[in-house]
Amino acid sequence: MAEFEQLVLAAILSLREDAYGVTIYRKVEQLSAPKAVALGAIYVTLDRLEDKGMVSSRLSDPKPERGGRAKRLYKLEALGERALEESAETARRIWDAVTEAWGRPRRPKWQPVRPK
Amino acid sequence: MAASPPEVIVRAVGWLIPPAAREATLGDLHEISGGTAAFLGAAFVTIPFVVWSRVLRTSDAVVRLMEAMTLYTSFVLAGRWLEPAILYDPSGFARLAIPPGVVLLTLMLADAYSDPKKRPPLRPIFGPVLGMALAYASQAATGSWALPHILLWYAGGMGIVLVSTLRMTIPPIADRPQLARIPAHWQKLDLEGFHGLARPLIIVAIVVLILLSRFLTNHLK
Repeated sequence: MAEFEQLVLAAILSLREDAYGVTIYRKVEQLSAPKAVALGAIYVTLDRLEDKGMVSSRLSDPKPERGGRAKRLYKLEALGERALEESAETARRIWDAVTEAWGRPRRPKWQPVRPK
Repeated sequence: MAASPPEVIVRAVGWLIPPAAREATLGDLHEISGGTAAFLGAAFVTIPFVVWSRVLRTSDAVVRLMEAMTLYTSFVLAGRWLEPAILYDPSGFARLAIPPGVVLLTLMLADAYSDPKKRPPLRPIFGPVLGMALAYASQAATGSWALPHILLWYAGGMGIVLVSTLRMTIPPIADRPQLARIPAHWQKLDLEGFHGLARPLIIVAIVVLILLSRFLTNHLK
């Protein structure tokens, strides 16, 4: 799974019920700082993840603060959770290997927790 | 808080966004940008991505290859029967590829911009006819590379019939019935046997076309 897909999945996971285009965009910007992110790139990735069955989406009710338009809310599916877990595990192993080689003090072991 | 963009601008921008993504994208653009200038700036940067994503979602590589081969074959055969001289021209096969290229591009955009909520019965014919109309129009811009009118009419007619039949037999992804919320990727797996072979098939098809064009150019002189 590409790094950007991992960022988008992580953003959806952390936003829970409020994951839609703008909030995902802002969260991914935060996660990938200082790299800039385009809103369009988020849409392309969300569509690709939906095609792969990793996320699903539905339209919310129209909101006045959005000019009377609905939000497309995204939800992480089991396949996406599994893929994200595997990516996180790989990232942890990389971190372990790096810290072992550089001899830096290791951070406390990271235990990813699934959302309830 | 900055004023919302005027309704006419929102409508104009909305018209550029494929219907399937219009509602959510317009809402996001509205939320992310306060004033009219910011709204237009964000739309200018974002819409190409939305269209591209929609093109990817509604295009099936195998079906596109079939459409491309069908259209190109129509033009080559019409050229062989009506204007054989074009096949002796060093740039003949490239000239014959221009109208199919325009039609293919139009089909991709027509599928991307199709409204998933509406399924007019003439949709399989609409894309090829529009594409062929644009292909005729594009001939004005090709100058000396333009094809003879008779060839365009015959090849165009044959292409419309064949591609429309193909699109009725294998409908575009946006038109396939969704009985459950099946991801588009899984729908594409309907043709899994072909998909595994898609890349080698494309390479073989290109090599065969190059060899065929070389053979025809050398032996028909």
